[in-house]
Amino acid sequence: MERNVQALTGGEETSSVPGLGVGNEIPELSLDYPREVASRLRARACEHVLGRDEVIDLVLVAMLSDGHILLEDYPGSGKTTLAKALGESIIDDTPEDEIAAFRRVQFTPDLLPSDITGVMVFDTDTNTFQFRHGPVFAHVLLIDEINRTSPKVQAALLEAMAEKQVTVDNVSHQLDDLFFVIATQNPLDVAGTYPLPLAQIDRFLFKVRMEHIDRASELQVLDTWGSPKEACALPRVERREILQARQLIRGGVAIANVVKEALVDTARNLREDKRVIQGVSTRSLVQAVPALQTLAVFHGRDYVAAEDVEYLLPLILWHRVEFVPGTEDPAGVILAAAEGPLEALARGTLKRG
Amino acid sequence: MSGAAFPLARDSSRPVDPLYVITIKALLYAFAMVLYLHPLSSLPGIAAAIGGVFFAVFLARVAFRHRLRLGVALGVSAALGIGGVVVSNAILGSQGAAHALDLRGSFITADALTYGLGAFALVFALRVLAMRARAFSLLEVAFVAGAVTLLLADHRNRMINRPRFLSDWAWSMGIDPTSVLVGVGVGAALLAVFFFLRAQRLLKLLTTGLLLLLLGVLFFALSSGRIEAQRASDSLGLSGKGKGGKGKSGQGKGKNDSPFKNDYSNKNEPQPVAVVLLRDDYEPEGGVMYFRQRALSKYNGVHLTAAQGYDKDVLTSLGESGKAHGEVLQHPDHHRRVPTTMYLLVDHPQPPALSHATRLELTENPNPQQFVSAYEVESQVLAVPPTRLLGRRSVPAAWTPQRRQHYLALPDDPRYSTLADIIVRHLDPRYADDDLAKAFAIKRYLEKQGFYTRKSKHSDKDDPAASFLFGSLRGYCVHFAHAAVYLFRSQGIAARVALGYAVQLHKRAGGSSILIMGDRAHAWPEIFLEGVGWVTFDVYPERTDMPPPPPVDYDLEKLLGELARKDPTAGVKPDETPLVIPWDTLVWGLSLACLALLIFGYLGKIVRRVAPVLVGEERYCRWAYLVALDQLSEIGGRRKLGETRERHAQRLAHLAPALRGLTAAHLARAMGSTLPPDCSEFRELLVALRRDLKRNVSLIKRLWGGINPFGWLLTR
Repeated sequence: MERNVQALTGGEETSSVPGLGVGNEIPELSLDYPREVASRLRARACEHVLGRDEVIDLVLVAMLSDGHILLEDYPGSGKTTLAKALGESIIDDTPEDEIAAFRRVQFTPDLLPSDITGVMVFDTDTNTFQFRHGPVFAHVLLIDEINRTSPKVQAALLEAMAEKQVTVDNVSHQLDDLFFVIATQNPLDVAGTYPLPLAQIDRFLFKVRMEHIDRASELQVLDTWGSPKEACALPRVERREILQARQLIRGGVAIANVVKEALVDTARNLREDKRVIQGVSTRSLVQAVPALQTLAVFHGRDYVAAEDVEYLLPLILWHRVEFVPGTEDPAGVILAAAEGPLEALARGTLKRG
Repeated sequence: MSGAAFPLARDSSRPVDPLYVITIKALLYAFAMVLYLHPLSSLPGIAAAIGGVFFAVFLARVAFRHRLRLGVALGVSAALGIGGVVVSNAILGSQGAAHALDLRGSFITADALTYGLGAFALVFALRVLAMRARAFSLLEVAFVAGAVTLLLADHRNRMINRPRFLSDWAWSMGIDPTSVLVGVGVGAALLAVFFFLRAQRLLKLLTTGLLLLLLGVLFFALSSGRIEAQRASDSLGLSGKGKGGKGKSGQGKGKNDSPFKNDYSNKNEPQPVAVVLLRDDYEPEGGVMYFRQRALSKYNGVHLTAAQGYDKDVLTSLGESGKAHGEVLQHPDHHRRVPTTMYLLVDHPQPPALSHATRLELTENPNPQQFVSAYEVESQVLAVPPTRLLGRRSVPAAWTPQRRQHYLALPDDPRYSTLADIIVRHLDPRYADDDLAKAFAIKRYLEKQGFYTRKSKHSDKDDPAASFLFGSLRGYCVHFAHAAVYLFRSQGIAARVALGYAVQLHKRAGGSSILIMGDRAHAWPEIFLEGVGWVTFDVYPERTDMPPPPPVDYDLEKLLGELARKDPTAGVKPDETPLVIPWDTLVWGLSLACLALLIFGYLGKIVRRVAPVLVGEERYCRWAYLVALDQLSEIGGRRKLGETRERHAQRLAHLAPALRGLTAAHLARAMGSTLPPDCSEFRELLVALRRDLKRNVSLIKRLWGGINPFGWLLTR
């Protein structure tokens, strides 16, 4: 694998021009390429965050399928560390623009939209207004405590997340293609917060509730914490490589019709379930497709299989569904809705191939 | 506000039964409708009804699909049904229509309108209801089943030879009507099931069908056993031994029992005790037929009892030889011979026989399960009206003094003769000395003054008859009979009390079989007339608190009559032809069915096993995977419902690690991998799987897997 990586990166350096569109030069690359990119990112993240392998995988799935992720966790559980590790793993191959590799914003009630999007500043030299880029202009943006700020800031972020652009003084500014938001919120301590409405939560591919890490990992954290951090020796990933990996995944992983049917049927079942007030959006299904493809690649396949659906679908859907108050087992509701479609999917495979 | 319409994104049509199901249902409805209407309507009316049925079934489907409201649908059908009746009545009533269509035409039009629209309305309502909720399918089933039931209504009470049209046809074709009836029942059941049918998987349907079949066979086997048992016991209420407790054998259980102690307070349902077949036309004067068992003529100081040496004309036993001849007292000039046959359903100490029986002879019992005995009776019945017998003496001069004394003995109570004297005092002087006229006067007196009731018993009195006659004059037949006999005797008329059954013929539907119920037991006076013989001389009190007796169950009477006549289809003769359960056929049929199932299973199994080779390279992989799944199913490694293939493979990894590879390869092909594994890979994996199974699964389990013919059916 190591040799392979060298060959891949080496071959690239000769052929690619930084900053150019990445889709043109990769027809010969296989799905090993995105897998290798992911493994590099994973290795670096795992170096910094211990005992969170599953969450890291989900974050990578979200990153490579062009989604965003909301982490719900207690303070001091490694969210920021994880986001920072990811941001630092990315080599900004376009240093000339105003976009940084990693930014972090702490959301507070007095935050203003311009604090995150950027602001027009009067330049006395040229006597013109210049746009000063806000923290959203980053490859990886960590938003801490997203529910602590006012809805207008949340709404400003919304545009950035959905359309990869921000509008300041009626001028739209494009964000980078690799714009990846890791937001966090605290499930306790909700007094004085502005909970994200469903429409906004729908923009996040996953909402991951992080559990406390296991004992061994926690001990290991204590052992390593505070020891002088040398610069991480593990190889980093270029921004360009991530975009290329995304493209490869989208184009190279087959998603059969039976799988799409299973997705749609699950969503329909969910909408008709009596325990559900509001069912899932079509957007959620649209977002699910690249996520499934990415996971398939992680599992070494070039097709989406039922196990991907079974694993990812509850993670993708559960935060988007509004349940009847008192519903005890939201994941159970989703799995029940998925049971029939998954059975049909399993039967469907026998009619093909 | 009005513009804020909600988007109607939902599909507005509902799923309905496929067209062929609807067509079959329409045919069934039409069939039932024809059955219902054929006795009522003309041919055009029936045709219109069939049209209405088809129209309704298909229209109901459309209405349901487009979500017609239930209320509207029901309203429309009610309006159409009522409208049809109203319009056709108008056509029948109007002059103009009669002119325009001529009489026949208007009748046909009215008929067609009534039945066509009525059928439409009914079926439309039923269909709409049934499609709305499955529970209403019951109504549909009831509608069709009702038609068949109505058709076969005659068959109830297990009348094997009814309905006639069916059994006649069956006999003419040389088929046992039983099997035809069973066939009709099975067919009806299947049709009923059809109404509940919804789209299902074929396998499920087959299983359900097989289960129903087995249930049916079981029911048939059980119930045919029970039919036999029922005939032997008294579920038809024939033997009278069952529920009543005491045998209700009418009068005279013990010879010395006082007749006054007869207990009439029995609240039980009257049981049939005997069937009489009339071998000749006979319509008795007064419409009452008397079946005498014995006569009481000896006064023992308290009441009348049977007498040794007297009443030899009354045949009280059949004797050793099964034959009995009585002393002939009836004068042939005034009597005629009526032959009858008695079939007793209950044991009687003395054989009841139509009075005045002169000859009894045992005959072959046509149905020993039903009847306790059967005997021929020859009776002399009065052929002239009793009034024609006036002018005769009662006690012949030829009688010995003992005999005269015997038939004239009465309690030592002067009131009898005093009362009798008072009664006969008002006779027409012409008949003042006529015994028969005196008897009529006494009879009239008792009829006018007496009150028939079973509530006054008088049995604790020294002389119950006196207690009755000189007391309240309230009593029942025994009191009337005794009082009459004492009064007769006080006037020098030879008289006695006869016991038996009196059957009122006007309560009957007719026919030559007469059913005697236990509650018809009776006691009545007989007087002797010189040159005539004994004459039944019953007293009919005008006042009574008894309700009229219920009419005899015509069907039961007919059934028993037919049994007695040895109708070949009505009675089963269990000793000769016991109701056979065709065990052989059943066992054969079941074994054949099992064999067919086995063959089906093995054929399927073999086909699935060799299919990969047969289907060619193109589809080899899928069928190879199926073979692997079949092999796992056979040893119990079936995929659970809702389990993904990957998880299934994971679960069975300890048995067959190769399954994971095989599943992955299969999924890669099925899910559109760009580099799908080829056949050789599948072949190797299949071999590996078999090796795994051989290593990890016990020999017994594998052997069972090899034998199991249905494992492949479990694969999914």
